[in-house]
Amino acid sequence: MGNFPVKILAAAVLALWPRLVFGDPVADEAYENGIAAYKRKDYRNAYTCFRQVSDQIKQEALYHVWLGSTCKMIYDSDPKPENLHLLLEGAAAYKTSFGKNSDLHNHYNAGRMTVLYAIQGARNLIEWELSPTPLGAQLSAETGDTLLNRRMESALDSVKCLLTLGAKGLDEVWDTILERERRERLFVGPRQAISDTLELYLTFYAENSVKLLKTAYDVDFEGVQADYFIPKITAACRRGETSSDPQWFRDLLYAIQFDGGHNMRAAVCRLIGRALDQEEKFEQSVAAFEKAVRYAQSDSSVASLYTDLAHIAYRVDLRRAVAYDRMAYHKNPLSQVIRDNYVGHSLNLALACLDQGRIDEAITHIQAVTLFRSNYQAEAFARLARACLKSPASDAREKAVKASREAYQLDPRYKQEYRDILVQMGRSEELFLLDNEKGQPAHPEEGQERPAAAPQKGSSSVQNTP
Amino acid sequence: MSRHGVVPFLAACFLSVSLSSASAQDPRAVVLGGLTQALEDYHKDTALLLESVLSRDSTRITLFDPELSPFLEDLQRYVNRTRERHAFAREKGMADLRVERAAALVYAYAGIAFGRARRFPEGHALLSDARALHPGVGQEPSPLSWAAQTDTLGTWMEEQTESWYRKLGQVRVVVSPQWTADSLRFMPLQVEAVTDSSGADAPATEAEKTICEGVRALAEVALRDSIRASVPAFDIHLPRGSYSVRDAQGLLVPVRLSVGDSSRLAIDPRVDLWAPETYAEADAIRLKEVADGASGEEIDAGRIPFGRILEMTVDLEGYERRQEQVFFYRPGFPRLDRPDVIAIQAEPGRPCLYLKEGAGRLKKPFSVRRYLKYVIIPALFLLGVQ
Repeated sequence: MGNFPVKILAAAVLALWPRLVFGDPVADEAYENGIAAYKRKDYRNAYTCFRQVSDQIKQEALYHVWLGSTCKMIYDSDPKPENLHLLLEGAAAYKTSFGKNSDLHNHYNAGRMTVLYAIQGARNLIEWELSPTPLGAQLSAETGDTLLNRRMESALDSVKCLLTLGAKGLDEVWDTILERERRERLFVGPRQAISDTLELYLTFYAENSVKLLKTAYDVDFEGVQADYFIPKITAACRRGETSSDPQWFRDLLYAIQFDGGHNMRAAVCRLIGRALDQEEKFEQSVAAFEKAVRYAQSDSSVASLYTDLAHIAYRVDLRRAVAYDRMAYHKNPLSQVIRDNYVGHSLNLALACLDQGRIDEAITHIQAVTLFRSNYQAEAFARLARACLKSPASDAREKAVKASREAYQLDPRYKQEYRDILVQMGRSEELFLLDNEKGQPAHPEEGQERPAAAPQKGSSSVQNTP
Repeated sequence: MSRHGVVPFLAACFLSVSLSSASAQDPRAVVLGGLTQALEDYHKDTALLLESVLSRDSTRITLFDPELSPFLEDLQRYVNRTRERHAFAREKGMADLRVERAAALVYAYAGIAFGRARRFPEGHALLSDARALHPGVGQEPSPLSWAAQTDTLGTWMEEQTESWYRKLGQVRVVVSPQWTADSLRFMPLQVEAVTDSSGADAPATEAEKTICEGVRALAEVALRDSIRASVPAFDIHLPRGSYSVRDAQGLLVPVRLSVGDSSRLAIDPRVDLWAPETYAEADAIRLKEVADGASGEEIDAGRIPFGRILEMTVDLEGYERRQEQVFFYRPGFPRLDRPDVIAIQAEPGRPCLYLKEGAGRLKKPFSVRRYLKYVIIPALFLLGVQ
């Protein structure tokens, strides 16, 4: 009996000795099977096989590359939220691999998958928990708002953590860029153009920095320091100017340098607003631009944003467009473009008002834009004169003559219109003086064309105004 | 030559030409060129970071500003990378003027940015490194897009970092490891400006006041972190003036220190510990900490701190057993004025008196007239400002 434990031990050793000496054939086979499954694009099976490999194989850097790549492929082929954790697992695998073989591409992949996980995770949370109709809304009706608020707070904290994680992932990618750049230069020396690999890294960095910030837009950029990305993306774009697609980098650089190049929040809100506008999501686009206005610091930037808003609003609500134009003009009255937009939109609104018989309102809109110089000021005076002629007010006819005279003085092509009004009003003295003016043709048909009207964009109707 | 033969021939020619041109390049020149370009890229990157940092409203910057932190962390990474590259260049004897200039500019930009974030000592150290590498760094043009053409980097170095650094004094704190481990590790310490600080440059503007507050808070953090990490000796920087160090209750470390122009002060809290003894051997005095109104652990002889409320149990050979709350303080330091706590003035190395008057006084043969005398002899020396 005394030898019984020894016998058991000996039996165990005898049973295990092939495994101890030659390794675990089942686990080794799993590795081979995993690679085979990966090659035939059966990623799920490959993942299962890779999880079964022996500890000995797990010491190899290449195993972690296979595992990381498999995780990424599973998520790409089936991007469901329940597969999202695979991105993080893949990032960890690549990180382990980088620790073992210092291959920079593994470092890049680790950072890249962390960023993708963070962005997608944050988007999912925003969509589920923080959107205007969160899943917990029904819950709140039953158990009160407190629970919902707590849940939303928790979701917000999670989003912040994810965004911070994403920023760290981007830092890892940037480190990879610098290291890759250094190694390339060390072996090749100074060069004019960057390599394709470096271009890939730079494109990923710049593109995903903006994506991360666009995700952060929904939580008011909590969790990330938005302005930090301006110098980083600028540095990436500067390097990218020697790539095969420099224009992409230049466009991005131009977009992020809105508002003096120090206000990423405003720049991102503007980019989001433009994207939503292209998708014809009017209200969301306006909300994004209005957020950009709140973040913008310089008056000229605010004015530019109001002009963008006016262009968006023009398609659906002319009155609102004019209101935005007015605000843009007040912020930056020196800009010729802003003035012209304001005048153009106001004249269109006035025309629509006249069509609907709201003459006083039309006159008010036109008068507001006759007070400053613009390319359409003469046209504005001419339209004011026409509107005044339709007005029943006692002094309207006098105003019409005055406005018509102003239009003529600004642009001689309005002479005939002025003359017509003088004839209509029976102002013979002024008519005589007009006809005998030196250096001016008596009638516009002799040497002048009829002036062009202010540009009319989209519908000039106010039927769809609130 | 056939059509199939021409292509390999041309490829071979091209390859041989490429190889010969590559081999013609001096590998040392290749490395030096790559190194210089890398450092110049770092220089440009840090210039962008600096511009972003300086574009922030300085009056709104707080200590450990979350908005500035990513910039500073990134700048620190660039500084580390630059140090590595520069050390490599020196090691290989390739640190030429361009390399040193680019490295110096990286340090200078980082130094200015650290100054902007109220971290003047770190900023100053970086600027010193920059000057050591490239003495003319101050004459370099400013990298900021909005700066005037005549604006030099030296202006920004002076304005953001150096002028403020000169207003600071350095205080060397030497902490006894035992004392640190037992007494202060978990105590939130505060450095308070003493109002009667004579000779101090009082902050003139609100912005200066904010900066002073920031520097002081930074010193507090350095003090706390170093003690927690059991660092035996470290430096803190404070604006000139007088300060006291206290814990969150304002009691524990009643140290007053003055930060002067060039003086290098040392706080040496070797011991803050006292040992109570009584004349009669049978007598016993036990001291316990008071935590949240309840008595805590008994304090060993030789570890009794100043500036803390303690529960003192006096056991006099069975004659009498009393419990009092006491508070030991040094002359010149704040005493606690509370009716339920007896404040006892004490000097290190000298006996102090436990005074009890009136009907409730202790009855003991050793009592002298109206008071009973106990001798509390400090076992070791108390901390002091050297």
